[in-house]
Amino acid sequence: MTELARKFTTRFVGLVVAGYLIGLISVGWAVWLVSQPILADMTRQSLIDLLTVEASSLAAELDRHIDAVEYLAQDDAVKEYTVGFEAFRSTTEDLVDVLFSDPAVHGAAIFSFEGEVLFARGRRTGWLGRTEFESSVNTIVAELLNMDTPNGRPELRLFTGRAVDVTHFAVIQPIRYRGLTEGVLVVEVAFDLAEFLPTGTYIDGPVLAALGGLPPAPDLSENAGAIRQSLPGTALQLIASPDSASTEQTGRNLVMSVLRALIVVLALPFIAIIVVGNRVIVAPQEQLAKSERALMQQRNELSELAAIVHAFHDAILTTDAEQRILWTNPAFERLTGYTEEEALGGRLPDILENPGDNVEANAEMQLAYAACGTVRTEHLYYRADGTPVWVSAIITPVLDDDDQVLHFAVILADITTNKVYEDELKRQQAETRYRSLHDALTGLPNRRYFDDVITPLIDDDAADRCLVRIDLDHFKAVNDSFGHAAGDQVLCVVADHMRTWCDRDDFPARVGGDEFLILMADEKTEEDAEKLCQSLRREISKDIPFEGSICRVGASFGIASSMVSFVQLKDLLVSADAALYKSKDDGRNRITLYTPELHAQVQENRRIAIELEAAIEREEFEPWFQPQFDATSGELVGVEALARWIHPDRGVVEPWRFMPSIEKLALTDDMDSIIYRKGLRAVEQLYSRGIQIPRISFNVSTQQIENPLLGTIAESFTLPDTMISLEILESVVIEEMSDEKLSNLFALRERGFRLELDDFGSGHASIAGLLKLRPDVIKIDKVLVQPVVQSTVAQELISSIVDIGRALGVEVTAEGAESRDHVEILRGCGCRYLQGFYFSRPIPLDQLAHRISTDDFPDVGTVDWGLDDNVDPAQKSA
Amino acid sequence: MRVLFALILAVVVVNSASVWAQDRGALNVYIDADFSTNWESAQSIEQGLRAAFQTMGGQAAGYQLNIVPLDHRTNARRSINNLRQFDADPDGIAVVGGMHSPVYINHLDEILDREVPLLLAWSAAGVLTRQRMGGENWIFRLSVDDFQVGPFLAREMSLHRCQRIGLVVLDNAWGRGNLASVSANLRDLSLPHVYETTIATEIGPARAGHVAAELSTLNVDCLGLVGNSHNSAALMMAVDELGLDLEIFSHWGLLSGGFAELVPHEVRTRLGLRIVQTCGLNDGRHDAATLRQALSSAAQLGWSYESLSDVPAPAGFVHGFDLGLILMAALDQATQTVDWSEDPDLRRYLLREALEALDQPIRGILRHYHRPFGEVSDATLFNHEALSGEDLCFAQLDERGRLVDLAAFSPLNEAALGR
Repeated sequence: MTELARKFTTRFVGLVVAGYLIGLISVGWAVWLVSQPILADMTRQSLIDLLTVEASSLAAELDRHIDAVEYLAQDDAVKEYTVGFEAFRSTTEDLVDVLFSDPAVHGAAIFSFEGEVLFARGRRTGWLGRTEFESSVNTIVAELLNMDTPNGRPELRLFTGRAVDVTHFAVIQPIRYRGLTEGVLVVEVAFDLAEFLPTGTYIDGPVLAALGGLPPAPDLSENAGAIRQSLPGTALQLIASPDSASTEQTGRNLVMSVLRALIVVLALPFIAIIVVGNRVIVAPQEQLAKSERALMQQRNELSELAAIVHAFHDAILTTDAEQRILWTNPAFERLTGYTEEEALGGRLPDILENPGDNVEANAEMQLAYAACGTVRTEHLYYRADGTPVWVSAIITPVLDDDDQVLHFAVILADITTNKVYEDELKRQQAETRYRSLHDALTGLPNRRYFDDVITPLIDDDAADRCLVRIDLDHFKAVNDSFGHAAGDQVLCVVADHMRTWCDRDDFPARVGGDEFLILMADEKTEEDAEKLCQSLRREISKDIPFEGSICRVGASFGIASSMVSFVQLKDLLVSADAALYKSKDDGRNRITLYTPELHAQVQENRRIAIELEAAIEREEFEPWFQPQFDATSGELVGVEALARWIHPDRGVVEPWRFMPSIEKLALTDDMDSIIYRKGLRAVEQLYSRGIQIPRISFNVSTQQIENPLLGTIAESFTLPDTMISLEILESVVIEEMSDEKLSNLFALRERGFRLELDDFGSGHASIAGLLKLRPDVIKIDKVLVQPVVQSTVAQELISSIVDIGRALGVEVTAEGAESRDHVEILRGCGCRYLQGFYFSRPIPLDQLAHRISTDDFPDVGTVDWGLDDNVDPAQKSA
Repeated sequence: MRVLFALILAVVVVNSASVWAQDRGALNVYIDADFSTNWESAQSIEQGLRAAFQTMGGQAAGYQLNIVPLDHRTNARRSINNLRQFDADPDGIAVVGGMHSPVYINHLDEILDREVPLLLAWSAAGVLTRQRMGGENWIFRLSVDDFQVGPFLAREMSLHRCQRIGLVVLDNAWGRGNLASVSANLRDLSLPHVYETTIATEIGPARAGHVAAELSTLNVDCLGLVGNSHNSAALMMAVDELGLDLEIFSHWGLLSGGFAELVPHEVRTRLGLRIVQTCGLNDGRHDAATLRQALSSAAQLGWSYESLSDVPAPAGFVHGFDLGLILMAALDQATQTVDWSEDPDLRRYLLREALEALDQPIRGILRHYHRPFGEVSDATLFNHEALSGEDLCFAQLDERGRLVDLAAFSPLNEAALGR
């Protein structure tokens, strides 16, 4: 169905449906108006009937209680009790209890002739004990006692005038004795009126007391349409208002029922009107309008199309199947420089192409012509003036109404600018990639390029290769001496050498500051690599002029090949690195092959590293203690804690065996921390055994100095009179001590730590170091101490150091006191404290404790071994 | 001579009393009785009392004697309230009680604790004057107590050769006490009763009919009745309705008020009703001169009775009068003691002392009283009783409902007596 047909049909159907709805609404409204008064009367009459029935029901229920109360008030026992004869009290109580067997009874009380409560019983929910009710009950009791009314039915009063969940009634009966009122019986009954009365019904009548706090009662006046119905035999009335909402709801239901019936009944006739009317009236109108609109639409489309084609920026032309031009738009001339007259009848490629160009594009175009399909191609054409132009061509067949090809439409768009941008973009991308993969300074491939090359080899487990690792010697000195420009110059020269001496298939790269790699071409051997390295070493060692000066560097080479059985392709870098370090260790400027021996050493170092890390984890390091003595008095002044590795299999391992690895693995700080904590604990244990250690010294690294827990850990031990000394290497103070670390050290000194400058004289022997640290003690290195027995120069040197110490207010300890001569000479030189094998080797805690307990140390003034003084006393005692 | 003496005495007393009255103020004598339902008895007591006071110009020992009648309506609570009211009155000197015993039995302890001089004009319950041995006894009676009625009724029924005796008593302490007494005396006479029951203060026709039916079933020929006006009347009407052939021997409680109106004379006659009474009430048994004086005094006060029978409740009048004379004599004696003062408690105490030891004889209607009361002890249990069993007789009601001597019985009853 066309849009027009839909429109006509919609209007017609809408009109019919509107009439249908108006009819329904009118009928519904009429039913509503007529039904409301009738329904209201019916509702009212129904309510009256209901109230009549319910009033009787409620009255009967109340009657039952009234009769019971009347009977009770006339009982002799109740009367006798009321006039004061206590003998009847229990009988009276029993009678009242019988009343309470009815759950509706909530309270009962007997009042004396004075209105005094003689007897009361009540449920918790009753009026007894509720002040507002009691005063009201008392009032009416007093009234009854003051008038001797003849016998009659009990009075019935409400406790409240309005309906609540449970309504309370007071049944009040005077107790008459000898015909006179001598007391009053009040019984409270309560029941849920909802069981008797319809919703919205209220009860009204003589009220004994009203509950406070009730919601306001609705307007129950007769003017408001309320209906009153007396409760038979009582002064009470039921009041109810007809439920107008219900009436309205009934009216609505009636209207809806009528409407539903009408909807069904009228639906068929109206549907018939729609169907017939649509055919007779709508269809002819629709056909006529459709024709007119089609004509108008075609005319408009043609006009719009012509305007578009003429105004189109791109060239549009039509050709026959042989590509002969049949028609062009004005843009064709702007694009090609040929007029329509010049172009008509000519073949498109003949006019615009050089022979041999656009071979692929023309082939695609031919296929499209042959298959009457659509294709997009790009061609390099030449304008009439000979200038080239890149053109995007879209060829598509034009079909008639019978889907036969009339001709072909071709749209030509100038994409020359796009082509230029595209070429520039490709060039820039290539340059960016080149830069990301090459070192900007030397032009050699960089680490990333190298990784890109070697990673696939490793991943693919390709053929074995040989790798050379090169590190320049003394390159730092060039930088320091001549500046970075000189360094850059050196690097460029080295790179040129590598480009010169490497074959085309070799892959040289700069992977660090002065680090180079050469991945040798496939199938090249270690020997080929060694020859290349020798050539490069030779070339690199030549003088390099720079701004009138000569720079000299060397190179160390490490060669590894996966052609040997013990090197995997993935381990080439590590192996070459190990070989390079071997060259460095062996004095630089060397070429080292990664041999089985070197491989074994690497494996050993790796094993030691694993063991050391485990040893740190398991805290296998223990402090051994070497005592220090006063050179004059011979008293023990302290101990130095020295690390020993207690290996589970190899036993005690000396420091020289593990320290290099510890330092290389950067585990010094961890080890020092263990020794520090264990050493303090040892002193604490000695203290608990009655052995006082005046001072304990620890070797500390720069990292430990920065450890804020150093002081806190010490405070966690009980060390009442033990001073803690921190020994810092002189070289560390000179080379690595920053202002921040110095500040930390001084803070530790303020917390009570003592600072000692260790190994003084073994390195710089710098006064600057002394002034910088201002230590409490200088420890003279044993290198200076040991020669004093033979060398007077050494003695003078020691004396000078002692003098410097005195000048600065610093005490001096001499290490390496190995014989009695040492002791005497050093004492003579003025050293305050002595430490060395003469007194004791480093010993474990138990031995230390034993020797201190037994005073088992040589005396400084009386020791006479009577043997060769150069023999190690420890060996002697052993 | 006697008249002259009386006149001289009256002038002297009146004169001196008028002088003293001005000096000594007033004393209040309370009457606690049922002025509502048994108004006849209460009113008669009041009239007798007032008549007694009137003989002395309404004064005694220089005090104006005021009478304060209070209605207890047979309600023990009202009665004790009345006594409390008296106790609070500084001029209150004594209380004269009505015909109902239970109201006092119920609050006996409080009456004694409050030290209320209670003079019983008609209450019959024996326990009232024989309570709380060892303590002070404040209750005096001028009326034959029930303790005497039991033996009297048993003896009389025996003399009348009753064979099948039934006993119906009021369901209270008084009634049950009499039941026990009559039963015991009948057993002593080897004449056990065949039926006994209690009835409530107010019974209806149904209960009365039920009792009558039982009497009929058991062929009772003599009925001992201890009740009040209403329930006795109800029972007699029921018995008569069934046509039972029996005679009724009744306590005087039946005369509490209105009985004659409730039970027609024919019924009374048919059932041979005889009522225990103090003999002094019967014609020829009382002091005629004193009675005349009493009736004269009553006339002065506005109550004109030709004879004692005209008084609605003669027993009440006679007892009230005699009690009034005794009270005035006791006051005279008490006020002459050196301790007499304005303290109401002391006055009441001295009055009680005087009542127990009256020096002067008193000439009353019923008898001449020589020391009518004395101190009560184990040996003198009845010393607060002005009368004794010897003072009991049977009386009957004539057509007008007046008490008359048994000798005036109808021929029917004469025949019964001769049986």
